[in-house]
Amino acid sequence: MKKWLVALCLFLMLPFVNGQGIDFTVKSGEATKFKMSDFSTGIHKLGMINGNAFFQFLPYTSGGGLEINMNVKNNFIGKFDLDNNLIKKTEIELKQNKKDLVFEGALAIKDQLFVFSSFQNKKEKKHFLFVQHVDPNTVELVDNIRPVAELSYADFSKFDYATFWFQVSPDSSKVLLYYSLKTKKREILRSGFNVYGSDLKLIWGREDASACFSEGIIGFYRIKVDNAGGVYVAGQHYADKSNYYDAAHFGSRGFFSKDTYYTDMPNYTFELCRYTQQSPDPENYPLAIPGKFIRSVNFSTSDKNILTCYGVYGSPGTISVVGSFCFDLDLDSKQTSQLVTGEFGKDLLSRGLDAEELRRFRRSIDNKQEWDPYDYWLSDLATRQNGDRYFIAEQVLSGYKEVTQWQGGSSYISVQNIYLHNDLFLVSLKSDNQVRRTDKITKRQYWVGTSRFNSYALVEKNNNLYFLYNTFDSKDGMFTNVDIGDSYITRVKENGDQAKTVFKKKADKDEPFPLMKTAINVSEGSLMYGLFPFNNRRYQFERIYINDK
Amino acid sequence: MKSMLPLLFFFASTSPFLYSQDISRYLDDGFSTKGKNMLKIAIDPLNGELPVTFEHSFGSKFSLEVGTGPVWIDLQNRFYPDDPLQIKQTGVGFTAWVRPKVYFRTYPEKLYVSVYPKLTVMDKKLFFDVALMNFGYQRIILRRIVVSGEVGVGFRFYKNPPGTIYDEGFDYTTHFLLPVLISFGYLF
Repeated sequence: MKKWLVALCLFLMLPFVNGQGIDFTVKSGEATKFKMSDFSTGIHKLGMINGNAFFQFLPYTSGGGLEINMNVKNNFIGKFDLDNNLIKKTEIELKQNKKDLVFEGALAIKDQLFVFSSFQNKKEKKHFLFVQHVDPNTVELVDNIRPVAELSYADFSKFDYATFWFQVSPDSSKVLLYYSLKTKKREILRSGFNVYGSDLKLIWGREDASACFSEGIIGFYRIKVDNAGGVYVAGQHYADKSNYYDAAHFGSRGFFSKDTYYTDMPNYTFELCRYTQQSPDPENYPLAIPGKFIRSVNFSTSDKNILTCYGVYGSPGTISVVGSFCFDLDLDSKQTSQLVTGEFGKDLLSRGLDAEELRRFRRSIDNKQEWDPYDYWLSDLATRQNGDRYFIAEQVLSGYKEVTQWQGGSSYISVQNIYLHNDLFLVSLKSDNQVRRTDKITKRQYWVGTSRFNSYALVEKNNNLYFLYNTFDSKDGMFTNVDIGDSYITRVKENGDQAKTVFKKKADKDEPFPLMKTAINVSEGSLMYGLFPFNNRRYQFERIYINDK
Repeated sequence: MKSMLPLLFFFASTSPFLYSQDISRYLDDGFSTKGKNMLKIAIDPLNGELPVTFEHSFGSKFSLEVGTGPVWIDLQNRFYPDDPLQIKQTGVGFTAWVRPKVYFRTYPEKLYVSVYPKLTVMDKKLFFDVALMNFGYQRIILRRIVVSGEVGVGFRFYKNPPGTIYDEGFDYTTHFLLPVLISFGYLF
């Protein structure tokens, strides 16, 4: 009887949940308990193939300490129907000739599913990369493994391992493999790339991805491949890295208590290298705006040899972001055109800040100090149904905190990783790069140990954008506990009108929780995403339908 | 049917699912890092043991090891000068064991742990050794050659000789045990 009363109350509350004008439905699949034989610690999205959604389940990886873990160490690929039901989940066992291969990634391209694996041959001093299909119907590995890359490390005595990274061109006709040979200390010995067709047959490649950068310290920032197989490598060129921090150091008295939140300084510039199969010499393009400091930049390739560059900037000599920019770069003439910059303004920058954040912001402005330690993750440049383009800049800060813990009467210091994913700036552009408007979606995502529950998912319907995200906050000023909040949808209309509502009430720690980064756009106004519990015992999938007319 | 053959051949030749390569040459690195068996000769310099062991893995983390070899009695008494074993003080005995090993990472390398019973016969008397906890570290140093070192703590108990009176109702004596093994092996 009590359950019925609760259900009735919840039913009566539904109109209030949707009362802010966002009409949506959530359908949940069955929560599945992990067994020891299929235990996973995370989910990655792979994509849609023949009307089914494919996800990769990540294995447990050892933290390097003294631990014995009996769980399976292989990746799994799961195939789901659009009602969130698991059709089949297969363990990806990569064994050839009694040798274990290392899983390097899975990719869904043009209704095909590929799995990459690698093997380090110490006799030949080569690191080999292989590819093979997974049959999307049976979700079984097809026995058609073949080599796709051969990286020699004979010249590098300090070589320890290789990393591989995959990127698909906008029309999915090309696949970029970007690789780095690294030392035990994670220093890059050499980076290069290969470009393949959608069938993973090699088209061309280069062994020196840093060939055209200026002298100095370069951080590889962003790598893309265009539809013609041209490769673009954006590098962050540092004048000096002596005072840099790899990560923010969170103090014990709360956020902003120490200056080490500012892991970057305004002493870097961006350069872009363009490599093509036809030209033996790469071209170097400095990415700069007169009188502005580019904080973060992204670019969009086109078939017309024009690159659209966009991002966020600060005033010269300062790291704090004050506005957005967009310009076109002619790759033949190296000329920039249609450069547009737009200041966010104090109202937008301070919108959504709580009282303490607002106080700090105002004080920083008055004292002409920095107020914004965040890096900005820039989305791809997307186009709405009405033709307007937009991009999203997400505030991100990662760092750590040293925590003193007591066990058995003795104390020890452990390091906790901390991830902050905060506000989103939505920059809408006209066709001539003019800023139509900038909107801010306020969210607070603070998490300890992992960032998998952070960030957002985006779905579009009728020119409206819907942002889905979880909310977490630091439970106390000591940054040791997380306060789990509700999960929200925020709708942003073309005219900037915002509405916000809860799509999932805050979960108990044992309940599966949305991983918005796993969301796959199933159809217009519909997303499918995985849910994962904090204790890793069960997983679930859900689909949300936006019903707004 | 005959007219369909060229069509079938066309699809077979264009389907990405159907071409594969023998990649064995890429995987031939001259030695097998994943041999399931290991034959080792070990030495325990503290306790005077020189066993030969055979280890077989079951899965990536578990293995079972059998070992046997001679024991030098005079070294066995080194740790208990005040309470020597009630046997003759010199000579050669014999020891044997079967023990499971669990690897922290993946067999056969890096850290492992084992808990095991061991039987030792010296001067025609039987001694039970129980290593409560043995930690070891093992590496492949050259192709199939394996080297490992391990240390543990445990205890030995044995039936008191006739006529010896100890605690009432308890006819066994216990000794502290410190097994230390350095091994060289061959992986196959």
